[in-house]
Amino acid sequence: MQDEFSYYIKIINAENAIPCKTLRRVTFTGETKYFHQFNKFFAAFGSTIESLTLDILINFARPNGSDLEHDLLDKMPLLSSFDFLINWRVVNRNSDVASTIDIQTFQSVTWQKFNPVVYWNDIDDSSGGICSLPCKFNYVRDLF
Amino acid sequence: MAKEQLLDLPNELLLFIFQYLSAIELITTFSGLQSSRIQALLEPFISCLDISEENDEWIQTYLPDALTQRQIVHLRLKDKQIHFVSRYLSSSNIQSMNVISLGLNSELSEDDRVELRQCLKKLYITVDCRIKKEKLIKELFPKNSNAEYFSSTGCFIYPVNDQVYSFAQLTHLSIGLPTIRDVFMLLHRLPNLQDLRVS
Repeated sequence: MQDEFSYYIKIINAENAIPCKTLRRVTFTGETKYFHQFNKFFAAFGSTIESLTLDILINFARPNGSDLEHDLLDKMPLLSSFDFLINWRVVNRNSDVASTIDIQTFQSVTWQKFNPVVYWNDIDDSSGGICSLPCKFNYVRDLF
Repeated sequence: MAKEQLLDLPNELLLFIFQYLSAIELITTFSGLQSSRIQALLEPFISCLDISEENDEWIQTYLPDALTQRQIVHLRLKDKQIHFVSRYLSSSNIQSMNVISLGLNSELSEDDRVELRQCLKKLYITVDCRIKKEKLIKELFPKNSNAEYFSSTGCFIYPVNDQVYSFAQLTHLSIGLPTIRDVFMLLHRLPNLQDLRVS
């Protein structure tokens, strides 16, 4: 992972660039191929973020509560508002349809600070997702 | 109704009428009118201006005065119009821009970039859906290209060719970026950013 960023970090160091330390609200929307690198982003810029919104579609990952806690929430100590809709497609239907994420992972002390989460696994559509409540995203409102 | 009759109307009625006209229509109709009363009443209705659908003739005729003499704080425009607008930025009140990216904005000069960096507090970049972005990039950068280092959504803010710069004023940014590395890189050039939207 470090190698992917090395080119950029080299430039940044050469410039003595000042990283942003004022971020308060962050929103990611749309299909993303870099969800697995979000932890990198929030490790670098998450210390000041108070509000985070994710409305994303991802492939090759089905994050549970522990994953999100470790990669996102733990890196944002000031976070007070977290609205999210994370959709995913089941890539290998035969092996993945039956497996589900562990919803117990959303019951940790960290998650107690945020709104409840709904999880669904749509076998017919080979898709699934998690969403915070109350839902603020049209897709889920239509779904239910 | 002739313009002279219109001007005889009381403020309350003029304000009511202005609600139904766009900022472009108001500027076109009332520019050059020597009436401080009317001009003062117009200000709140033209503080946000959308020039994205206006032709070059309109822009050259009306925009310079509008930018330098009016209290326009938000501008919606196409990326190809930035070059014309940038020369007036420092003498205008523009703080916020919504740039409609056509994907062909790599021609923006360094001078234009400097103006944007110095003046803008809020920048929203949206892609024109009529343009098939990926196809366009492939045509522009066919082989061994630097496409990795270009984003068709606002490459004028995106770091290109190791440039050293920062958008010191920018507090709000909405932008489409292809990888998390782009976001990472960009945030080292936005020291005062508060609100970030990435699609």
